[in-house]
Amino acid sequence: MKKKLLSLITCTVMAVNAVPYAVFAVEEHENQIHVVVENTTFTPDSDDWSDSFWYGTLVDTWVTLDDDSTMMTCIVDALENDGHTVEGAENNYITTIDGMGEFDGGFMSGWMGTLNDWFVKEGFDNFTFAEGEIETGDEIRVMYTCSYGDDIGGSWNNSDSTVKDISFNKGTLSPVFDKDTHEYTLTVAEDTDSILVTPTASNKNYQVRTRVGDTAYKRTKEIPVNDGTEIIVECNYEGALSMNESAGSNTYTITVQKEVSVPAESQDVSLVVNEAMKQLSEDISAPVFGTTGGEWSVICLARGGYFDKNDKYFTDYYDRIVETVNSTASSVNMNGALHKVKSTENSRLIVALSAIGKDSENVGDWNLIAPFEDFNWITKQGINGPIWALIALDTNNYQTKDKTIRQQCIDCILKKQTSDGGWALSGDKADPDMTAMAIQALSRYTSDSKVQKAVDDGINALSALQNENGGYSSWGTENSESIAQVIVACTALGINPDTDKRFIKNGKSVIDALLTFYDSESKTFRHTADTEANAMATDQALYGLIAYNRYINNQKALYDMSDVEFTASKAETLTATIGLPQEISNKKGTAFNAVVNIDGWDNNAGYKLMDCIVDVPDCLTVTAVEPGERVTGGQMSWYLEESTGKLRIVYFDPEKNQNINISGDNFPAEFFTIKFETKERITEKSLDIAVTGMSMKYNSDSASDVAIDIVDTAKAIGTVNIVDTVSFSACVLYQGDGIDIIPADKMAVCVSLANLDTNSALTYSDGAKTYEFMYSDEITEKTGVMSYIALVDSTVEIENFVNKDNFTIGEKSGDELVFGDANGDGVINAQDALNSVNVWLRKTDVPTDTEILRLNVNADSRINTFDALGIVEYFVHGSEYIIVNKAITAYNTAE
Amino acid sequence: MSTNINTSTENQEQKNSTRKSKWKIIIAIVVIMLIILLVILLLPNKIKKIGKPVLTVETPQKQSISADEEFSVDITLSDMGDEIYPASSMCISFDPAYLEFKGISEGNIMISGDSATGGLPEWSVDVERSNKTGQINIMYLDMTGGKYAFSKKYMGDKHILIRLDFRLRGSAESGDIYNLEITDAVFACTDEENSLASINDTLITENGKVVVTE
Repeated sequence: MKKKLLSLITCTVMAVNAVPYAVFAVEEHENQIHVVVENTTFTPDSDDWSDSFWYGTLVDTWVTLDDDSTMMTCIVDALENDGHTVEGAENNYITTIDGMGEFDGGFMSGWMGTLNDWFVKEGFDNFTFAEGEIETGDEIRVMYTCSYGDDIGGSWNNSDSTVKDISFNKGTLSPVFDKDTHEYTLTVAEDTDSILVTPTASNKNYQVRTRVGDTAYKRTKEIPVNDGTEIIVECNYEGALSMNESAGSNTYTITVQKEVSVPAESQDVSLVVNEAMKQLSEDISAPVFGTTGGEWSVICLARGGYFDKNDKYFTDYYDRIVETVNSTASSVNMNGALHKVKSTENSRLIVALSAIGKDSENVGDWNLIAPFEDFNWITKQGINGPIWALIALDTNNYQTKDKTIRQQCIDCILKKQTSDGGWALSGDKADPDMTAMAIQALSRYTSDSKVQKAVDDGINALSALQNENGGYSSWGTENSESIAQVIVACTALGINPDTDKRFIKNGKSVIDALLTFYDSESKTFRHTADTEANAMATDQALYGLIAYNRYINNQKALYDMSDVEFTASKAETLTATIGLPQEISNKKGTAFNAVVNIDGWDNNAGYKLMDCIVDVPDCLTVTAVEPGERVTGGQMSWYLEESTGKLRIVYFDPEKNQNINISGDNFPAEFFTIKFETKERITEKSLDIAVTGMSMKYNSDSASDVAIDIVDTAKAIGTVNIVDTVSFSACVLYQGDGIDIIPADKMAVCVSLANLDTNSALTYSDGAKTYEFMYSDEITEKTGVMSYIALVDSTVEIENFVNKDNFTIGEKSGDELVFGDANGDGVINAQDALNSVNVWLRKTDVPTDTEILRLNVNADSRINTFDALGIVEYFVHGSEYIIVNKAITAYNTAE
Repeated sequence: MSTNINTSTENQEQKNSTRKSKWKIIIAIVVIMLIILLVILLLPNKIKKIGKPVLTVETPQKQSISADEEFSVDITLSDMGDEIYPASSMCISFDPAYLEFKGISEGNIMISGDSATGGLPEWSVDVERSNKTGQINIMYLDMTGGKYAFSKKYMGDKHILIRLDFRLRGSAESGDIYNLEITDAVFACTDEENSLASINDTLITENGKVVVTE
């Protein structure tokens, strides 16, 4: 036979490669191989038939393997153990079995064999157990052919690598199998744990295998399955060998779908929801910004439909929010961030504002969306950040200038998925709260297959984490909040948390579990079964039930606010302010500075040019106009028209026409500083300096209404008092609040001395208190007036610091204080930032007054991580310390 | 006569020999003194460096001017003390007229973290400002004060702290050499006495040069 020679050549190669790369153990036939010997082709009605021949299955048995077993010995053992005879085995070529030999059925007849339904035909001795070429669970089928194998499924005449048939011992395949259809669903009973898959190649000269993931399964082994298991059947897969000509591969995917019992009717929780909302509206009668008694309560009452979005309850809340946002965002000074490291502060508020139809891009003076341009800020508090950023941005389809922010959030969440399919704040073990929140965030993005897979795994993880009573535990404690999060996640995906089998344990659904935490007397929810009800548990449990209620009433998901009508927003405006020293000398040649700050800045706006007009008194001349340290993208040009007193300033890049940028996050930021000098001895008591016009231009098209942004300069006016002797002005930069390191009875005072030309030691003494003031070169540079700082007793009236009788000016230079140089080594670096952190963490000794002055760079009442961040921003971005700008913009003098 | 002549010659030779010996001695003394001087001059530097961690700017051997492609400079750390270092910063000066700083890439020295293998630090840097000022200021700060810190344990056998990406500007010419100088660097400890800092020579810095070729 012509196949014989070819088989002999190739069988050795095939033997090496034919072994599945992963094999599942066969417990039922440990160390055995399945052997079938049959004749289905040479029939008794054939002309060549003799009564000595046989038809049908001669042997169908399992043979025990030993170290010497080969494919051939297994066949011989199977036959002889059953009393049959076989000839030719000793020559590695079977000629006759039970008297029926080659050529008896014609010139193309003889014995051929498959190993796992793949023709090896001859060279059976070449497949040995010792070398792993045959294994436990393999199937050898010896068959009689009358046409060189064509009649038993193997052909030399085609390169058809499709699968002819796939049979399953359980379930119903849909659609009916066709070799040209490659995607199927196999519906099995709900209690099905495993199925046997038997594929048949159209041409058995090509290898076919069945696998789930990276695990291949023998034809004789049932495959364990769950709902959604994908079974892959591949013919002539990569790495498979064939004696035929090369051909492509064919892959068939069978997705297992378990039948779901007809769900029970969803329970109605509206009574609980309604009475709990009523109670909540009474308990939290005036919600404010915060995690309790704030946004979550508002979300409950808005999404639960308890109040109309225009109800006074919400409008009053919004008014309070505007006030809070203005003060908090100003204090944080990070482009609308409400916290330097917790982006969830913004996210939580955005969700609440969306629920009542308020635009978060214009809340008071701030855009709460703007800080989300900074992905580092979003991730500063771990995975919570990107999760809630996505949820918040999606409540009103808020867009960031950087269009990659959403994808960065998604990628970050996917990257943090734990090995068991969920998410956690830390570690690799899924936590129900974080898993549910991650699913809530990703629920809008399941069109991406990677996200869909992650969400599916997350749902499976949540199902697995569910307690036997239907509830959920986090950090070892079963609690209502975790359950609520799972409900919100389910409803976001369209899963009924009350009837879906995955979320029912011992007949108890997630909804059943949550309701056990309800205190029907107080109409509030408990955190755990044995504790009193509290506000946080009530908020979360209630919005969990509201999410469920919305689901069964076919309303939008809890965080899908596309059903909310938003009030129109106003455009953000750029504003300018000016900082001036309070006093200067009346002498001719006195130099001082005016600092023009800008707020509402957007680097992505694409500004190309700034122009500005400043009214300058006759007695002053301008020696320089310098851009702020953080400003880039242009060159400063200016001209003082002395006849009119108009100083015209232009900042742009005449060569490259670059965009103007201001680095860092702290705003308002210094745009430029005007350096003035008195032309003559001044007789006036004061001088007014005002920015009378300022605009930012996108391009040179003056006809275009989108070519320019007018800067609001209403507050860009200041007054400088003129003095003829050494004179003191003072301002309080901050006062301790006693909560942190800085005592409540201490305040930082900045004193500036007009008519003092050099740094001289400055001592304050009013008879009761004595302080050595330290020279600040940074404030002096900023104002142009010699400036000093000291931490003093807050009981000392500020008037005392403008009374020159209380000061002694020494002949020697005074000690200098450098903001941010915590250790006073003359260099600002990571050591100083860390020292700031350590002071806040109380890892180091209580700082001295001088150290407090060096450390509190953001000029608030405390030393904490804000100051550490201030030092980092100064070091990396060159961002000016808030305290320096405050010294020129926040004068508060007794005079 | 011949004897006298011989004697005179011998004397002359003896004198010459003596002179030569003296010169040899003088030269030897000068050489020895020079060696001692060099040792005195150089030894403190060597001694200063012995056993101390070294932060090095690893520049490429040569940088082709024609390539106009980015190149990377590794900042490597030879070793670390036995403390934990929750913060680190460095200032590296360069000439922005000829080099464009493009940004930073991750190194392979890990910080401690939630997982057993730790994680890579998230450095802060301002590319635009760096190119404006000619000084790259890079800082890492662990706000927890130690949970996500550098340490010998998490450094392991890795040495690349961070990677700086540059591009040669069109103004660069063949034969130019551009210095990359660490002007300040610190690995900060809570107990400042244990910090590694260039300012007090507990951290040694080695600068790098970029050599431009055709």
